Amino acid sequence: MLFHLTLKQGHRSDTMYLESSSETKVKNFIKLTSTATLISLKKVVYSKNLDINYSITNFIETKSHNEELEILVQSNSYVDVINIKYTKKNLDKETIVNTIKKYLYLKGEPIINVISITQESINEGVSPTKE
Amino acid sequence: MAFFQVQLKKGTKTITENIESKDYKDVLEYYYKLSSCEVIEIREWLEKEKSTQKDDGDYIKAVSLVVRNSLNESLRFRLPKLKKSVDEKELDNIIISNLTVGNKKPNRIEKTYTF
Repeated sequence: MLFHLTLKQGHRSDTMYLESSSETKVKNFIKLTSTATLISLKKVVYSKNLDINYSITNFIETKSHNEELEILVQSNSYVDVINIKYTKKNLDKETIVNTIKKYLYLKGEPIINVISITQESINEGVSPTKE
Repeated sequence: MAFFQVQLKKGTKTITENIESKDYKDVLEYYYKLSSCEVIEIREWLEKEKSTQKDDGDYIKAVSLVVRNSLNESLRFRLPKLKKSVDEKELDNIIISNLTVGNKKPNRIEKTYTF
């Protein structure tokens, strides 16, 4: 298993990848060897560059997707905002709502309602007056 | 349910987002359906700690390591702020006990210290 770690002491942070057979052993390794605090520990579950669970998809890169969506979502107990940068063009509301409800959660609860969807332009470094 | 950190690529830009989902396959599907970005890496959050200790300088600055297995596959990393109490032999033992390279126990370790 591959882990992504961030260590911090004082103001400096260091990030690294380590391979181990368990989360406990990674923590043990850091605890025994470094004076820095392990501030984040993540397991790499998918990686294109490191070929972890990677399968070639039909991903096609295109430049015509310069919108950000700000979506207000609701579960039984919570309300939160989800931002999606560089969304696909011509997405209809139904696709967005259904995809969010199907794949995302809010603090452990299924998302039951999408209250609003707001589109915002992403600043591409080009002045709006030139467009 | 789990929290995931997702690294996305759009042209030369790299974007990092955090979302909550059931598993990484659902995360992939979510981005495939809505985003024009390519998913480069997905990491599942296991632990997050906010408090850190003061930098008292009482450590060896870093040790760069190349850890190899019997097939000569290697894992390279830089371990910061090495405890002064950990000598070379002890460091070797800790690495062998806790880390793997290509799912195998390490059998050769090269170290370069930065003081």
